Amino acid sequence: MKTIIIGAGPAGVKAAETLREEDKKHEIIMLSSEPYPPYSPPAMVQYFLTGEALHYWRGQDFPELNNIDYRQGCHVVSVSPDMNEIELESGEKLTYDYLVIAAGSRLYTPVEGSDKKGIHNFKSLKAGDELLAKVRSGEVSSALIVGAGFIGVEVALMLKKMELDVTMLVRSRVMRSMLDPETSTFVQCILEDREVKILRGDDADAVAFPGDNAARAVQMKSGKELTADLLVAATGLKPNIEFLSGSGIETDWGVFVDQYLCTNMPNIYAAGDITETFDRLTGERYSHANYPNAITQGNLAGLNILGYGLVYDGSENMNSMKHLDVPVIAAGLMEGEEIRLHRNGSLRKLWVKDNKLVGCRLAGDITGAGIFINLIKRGVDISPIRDNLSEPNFCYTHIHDTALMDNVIPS
Amino acid sequence: MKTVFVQPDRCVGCKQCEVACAVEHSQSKNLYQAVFESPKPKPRIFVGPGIYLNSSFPNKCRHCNPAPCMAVCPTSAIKRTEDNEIVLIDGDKCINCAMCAMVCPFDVIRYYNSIEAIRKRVVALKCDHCVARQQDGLEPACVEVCKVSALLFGDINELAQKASSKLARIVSEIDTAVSKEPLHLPDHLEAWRSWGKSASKLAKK
Ligand SMILES: Cc1cc2nc3c(=O)[nH]c(=O)nc-3n(C[C@H](O)[C@H](O)[C@H](O)COP(=O)(O)OP(=O)(O)OC[C@H]3O[C@@H](n4cnc5c(N)ncnc54)[C@H](O)[C@@H]3O)c2cc1C
Ligand code: SF4
Ligand code: SF4
Repeated sequence: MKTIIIGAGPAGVKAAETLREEDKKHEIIMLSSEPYPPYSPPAMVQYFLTGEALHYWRGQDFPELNNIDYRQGCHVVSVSPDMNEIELESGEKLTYDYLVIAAGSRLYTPVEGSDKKGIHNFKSLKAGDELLAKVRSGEVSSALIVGAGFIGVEVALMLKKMELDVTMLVRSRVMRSMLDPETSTFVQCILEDREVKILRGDDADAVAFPGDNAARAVQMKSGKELTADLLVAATGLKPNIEFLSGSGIETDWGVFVDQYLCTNMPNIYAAGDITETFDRLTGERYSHANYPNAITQGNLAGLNILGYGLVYDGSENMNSMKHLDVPVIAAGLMEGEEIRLHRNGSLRKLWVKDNKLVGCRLAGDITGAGIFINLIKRGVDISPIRDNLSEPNFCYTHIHDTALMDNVIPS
Repeated sequence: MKTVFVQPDRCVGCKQCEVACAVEHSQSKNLYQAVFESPKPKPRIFVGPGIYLNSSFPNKCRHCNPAPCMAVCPTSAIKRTEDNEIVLIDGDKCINCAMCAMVCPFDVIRYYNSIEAIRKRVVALKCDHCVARQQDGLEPACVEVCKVSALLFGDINELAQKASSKLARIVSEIDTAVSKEPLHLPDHLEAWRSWGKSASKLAKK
């Protein structure tokens, strides 16, 4: 049996790892359009700040150790499911018995002129290398970051640590999709404490990158233009599905998959940021781009190729903020009855609906996070501990006392 | 294999295990010096209050297999020892991303500056089953100091035979803690499971 894995991020690597663990003889080819060993994006900032190569998290020799035919710098341009064949940019064609599409996501910018030169991003190691080359050239002392989502904030903090003068353009509020307004303000204050400048409103609503060949500035809705030595776009993510057009593989925002993570083609699976799965809590179709989802999906795709027939139970909406020096985590929804605890410089919020915990946003003090998130995942009736949830010293003993723990199982 | 067994009903909430754990993970390994150390040594076992006035529970890493924390660590900082018994965090690789804390259902991971990491940065810390002490033939510090046998150390099968039905709860906890996972059940968990099941049957008779 021969499987080709398109992509060498967490999802592709996990699929390869699982296939190898379960089947020593399986032929595995893994392709990455980037010129590096497989890497883990969450560790990129640490790498650029300290030089520690933690992003090569499975080791640079992962392919050899696992007997994987790994080809870096190989961009796949098309897939022909009827011939079980893919085509590389070089024109070379490769055939497979099974295909795993794990090509991840990239920067999505609804801002006019975003394909111009001079606009950097931090979505991949290649993009990171280009951005850092510019910073290290010594020609930049200021940076303008468009967008204040997860990656925007991470880049802002990284560039600040590199002693640049950093300004963020925020249309609505900091990490709007992840955080409620109050927690968002909490994070904004921390950013401002770290001397990251934050502009909001119409004067910060980027609509275009003016400039003839290269972008020279950012133009706002108000007409105003702002510029800096370094322009960074961090406006959102978009699954890398372009190379699938015309293949017959069903896509919308991302690649459509069934409950086994199989596409509409029986021997083609998809995993990671590129898939459009469903939210575990709400059942809505969604791509929650995070590392745990990529790993779970890569693993499941690998197992299902081997015939396990395991059902995916939905992706999880959770993330955390690194590099703020203050822990911030977000999981689940922000609707229903709100439980709030503001104390000693920390802000802890939980949301309860129909006696079930449905979401949490914890900043400053994240103890209990694992308990909350597992209660959310399991949909446990939390009535026995409802009144304790807002206590500052709520802890696992409450779960033990109420035997709720029998439902709190790792997954 | 040897492990730390928890008999929650016996715990009186004296927090001696917390102190012993912090001292064991200090530079000096001496209580009176440890309190002046920087970074300040912290426990990896937590005895917190519960629903009732006198409830307490010594909560520590269960060294799950498979371990949810290990699966989500984006730098592979979390590994299992070769004999499969202990889940360890390598502070040098930790980027303080909190993914592990988000998935640990027992809430036993904390973030502090640590002597275990280069440049003493803030990293994820949790129970390491006192690997260093075990190599010297000693039992974990928390077990040694627990005066009421709420914490026991030994071979699972032997302890299981000696244990009172109070253990059934904690054993079945581990039982459910792994039952959803389709693959790779190691020997020691099979032992936890089968004992948990037979003990529950006995309790019903
Ligand atoms: C800066 C940053 C920090 C992050 N921090 C966190 C965090 O703390 N916690 C968390 O949970 N998540 C974090 N994430 C998100 C997480 O990294 C992603 O969800 C995860 O990497 C998705 O894995 P993936 O394998 O699906 O895709 P990717 O990691 O994007 O990998 C895609 C792979 O496909 C290759 N590829 C793409 N197109 C082609 C093609 N046509 N042909 C061949 N190869 C192709 C790419 O080169 C790459 O190897 C972070 C992301 C970034 C960018
Ligand atoms: S830290 Fe939590 S999830 Fe990880 S092994 Fe320990 S108890 Fe299990
Ligand atoms: S906090 Fe450290 S140990 Fe935990 S998941 Fe992140 S990198 Fe791994």
